[in-house]
Amino acid sequence: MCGIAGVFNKNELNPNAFPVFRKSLGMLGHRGPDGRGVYVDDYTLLGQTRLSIIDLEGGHQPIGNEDGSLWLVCNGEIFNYIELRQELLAKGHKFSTHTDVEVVLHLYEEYGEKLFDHLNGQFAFAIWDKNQKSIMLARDHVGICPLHYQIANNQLYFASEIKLFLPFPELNFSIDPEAMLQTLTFWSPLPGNSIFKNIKEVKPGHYIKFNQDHFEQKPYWQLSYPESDSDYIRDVNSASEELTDLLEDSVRIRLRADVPVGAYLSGGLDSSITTALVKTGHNNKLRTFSIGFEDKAFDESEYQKLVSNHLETDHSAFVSNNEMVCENLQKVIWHTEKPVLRTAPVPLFLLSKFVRESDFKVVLTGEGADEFFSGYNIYRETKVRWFNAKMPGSTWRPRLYEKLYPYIATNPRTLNYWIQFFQKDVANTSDLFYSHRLRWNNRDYLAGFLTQDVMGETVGYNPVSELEAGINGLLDGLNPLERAHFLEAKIFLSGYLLSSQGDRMTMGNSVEGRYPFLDKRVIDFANRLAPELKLKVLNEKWILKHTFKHLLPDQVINRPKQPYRAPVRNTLLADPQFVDTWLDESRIRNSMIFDADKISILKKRLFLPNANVSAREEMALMAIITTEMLKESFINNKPTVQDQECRVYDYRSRK
Amino acid sequence: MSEKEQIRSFIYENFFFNDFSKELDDKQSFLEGGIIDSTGVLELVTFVEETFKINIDDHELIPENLDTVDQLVSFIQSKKAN
Repeated sequence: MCGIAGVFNKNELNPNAFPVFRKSLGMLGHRGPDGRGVYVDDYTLLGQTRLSIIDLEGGHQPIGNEDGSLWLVCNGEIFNYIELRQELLAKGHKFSTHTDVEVVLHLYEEYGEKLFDHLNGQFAFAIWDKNQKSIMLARDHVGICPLHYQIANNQLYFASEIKLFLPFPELNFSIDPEAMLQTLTFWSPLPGNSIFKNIKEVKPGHYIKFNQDHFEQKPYWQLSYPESDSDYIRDVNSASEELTDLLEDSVRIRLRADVPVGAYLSGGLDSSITTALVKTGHNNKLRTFSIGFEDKAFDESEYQKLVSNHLETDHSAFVSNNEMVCENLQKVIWHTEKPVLRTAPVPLFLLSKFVRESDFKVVLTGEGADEFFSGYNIYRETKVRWFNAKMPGSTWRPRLYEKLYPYIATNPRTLNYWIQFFQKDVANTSDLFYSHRLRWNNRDYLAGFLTQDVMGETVGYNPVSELEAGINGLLDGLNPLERAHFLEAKIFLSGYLLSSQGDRMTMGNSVEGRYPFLDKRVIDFANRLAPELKLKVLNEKWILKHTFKHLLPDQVINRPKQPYRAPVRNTLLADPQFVDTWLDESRIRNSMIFDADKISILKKRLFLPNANVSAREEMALMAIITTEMLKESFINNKPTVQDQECRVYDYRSRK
Repeated sequence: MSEKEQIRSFIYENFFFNDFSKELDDKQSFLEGGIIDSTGVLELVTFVEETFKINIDDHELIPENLDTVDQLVSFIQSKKAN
């Protein structure tokens, strides 16, 4: 993985663009500590900071094609590059490096905008086509690698991370109130947006071609589901066989690297499967890494030990505590580049630091299985609510909610409340957002903490309507489980999981995560599975358990799913000074985003002994603190960077 | 303060964070309006028990008794009468 960036001006680059751009690459130093390169001509700047993983000696970027008419910068990995390279060589293409991403350039020469059909990988890239005078930006299928852009003063600026834009004096940063409402609804801005005004992202599975006069964002890949009942895979044996072949191959090509590859082991099913496939098929000395928590309610060490002993991996655990979370949160928000409503990203950041210090820069990890094989409770909840909708008056059907969420039954005082909560709008099964709407209702509560000014700027704006417009009929004809899957993959997966808990946390410490469950072939396969093979009655990820049970201890196969979480209230209480700093009344008042009076009440409540701080109050606290941190780093006290040595390919007509 | 006023003031302080521009209809469902969540229910019950010196049995913790200001007032009055 790497950091990439560029500037494009169809008339001529502003004269100060080159020196500022060179310097700005320092903002992506963590994504690429192993070298820098810049291409410049009269219209275009392309830059890359390199984390060398394949072709360590060569493989520098930007890379030009045979006649220098096309130039590429690419962040990520093309896992099927060996096969593609052979095909392209056979067609007469000449390669100048041995790096994987060069195939992108020659595929573009060969197939133009159809190149995506051939790619299997995780990537964000830019191709400068001198003859067409166009720049194409593209992101991988599900959005593992980030890519932001903005247009100002007739110039296009793009970069892996928003912070690269900071050194440009002509670019301004302010929090976008609509994106803030999206964050308070969906945990991240909607695909295509960022938390900052005018700064956009290329959507997952999309590309944009910036021509001289216009541009549009086009999808090259979509989640697709069977059109008729007979197209579903229903036979268990053939499903297991195909799943084994696909996942084994997905793991195999994700081990392609010129440096050692380690694996994350959370103690859950998904990373246990990927680890088992590496261990049994490829690497007998596999190194595995995991996070533990001092707070036992969140700790999964016992299962991590169980799996690592069972698979005989060389395992190390990093133990996180509340003080560390406070200490690192601001740094983490510098990397997430958006507010987060949970503390969960921080331990992942600390884990990747631990990995890097152990001299590893690539890890395999299990994300994606929950999204495509029905792992989350939201799928089970959707199923139970549909079951209840069939007989809304039933008194025993709602008791199934206790099976989903055992904690609601532990307190009889709130049990009735919970049942009422889940039964809300239960009969409204024709609602395309049936699975998720209950969760999104928290927005009104959280938005209640915004100032009147911010709310005034969003009068008439509804994030769910924007989502609906973007989905544009794609949910029509899908069954209820598929709709829930679609929404999770579209919003949560790329906007939060692969970003704030994924790429940004690994790359923040110059570590690349690779995701075997997110191979596009695995996703297409999962979408063709009959719903009952994924969620058998209420047994989540059933086909994964059934297929891989021979590789793992029974306790791991049979354990109830534990969602990865980290404590919030106890974390904040661990460091009152930290809370005082970030929830300081005059700070909040000056920021003018959140209502200082309401927040001082919330803050008081946090410190009351035996206070019941609710989940949504915790989310509010996190939203406020992390927004203040963003403002601090991106608006109030921008860091500066120094120019550093870099390889320059200078094609300007005047130098 | 009347029972109703005490309840309203508790809700404004704890769930509206003293935002008096928000309107609270005495017939507005706490649940439907997203005013109270499950943790809030516990706080509300604790508040009612302590302020009005009554004990609420688990089987009485149902929305019909607790979900609006008016319901709460009549529930408290009937408990006190008994």
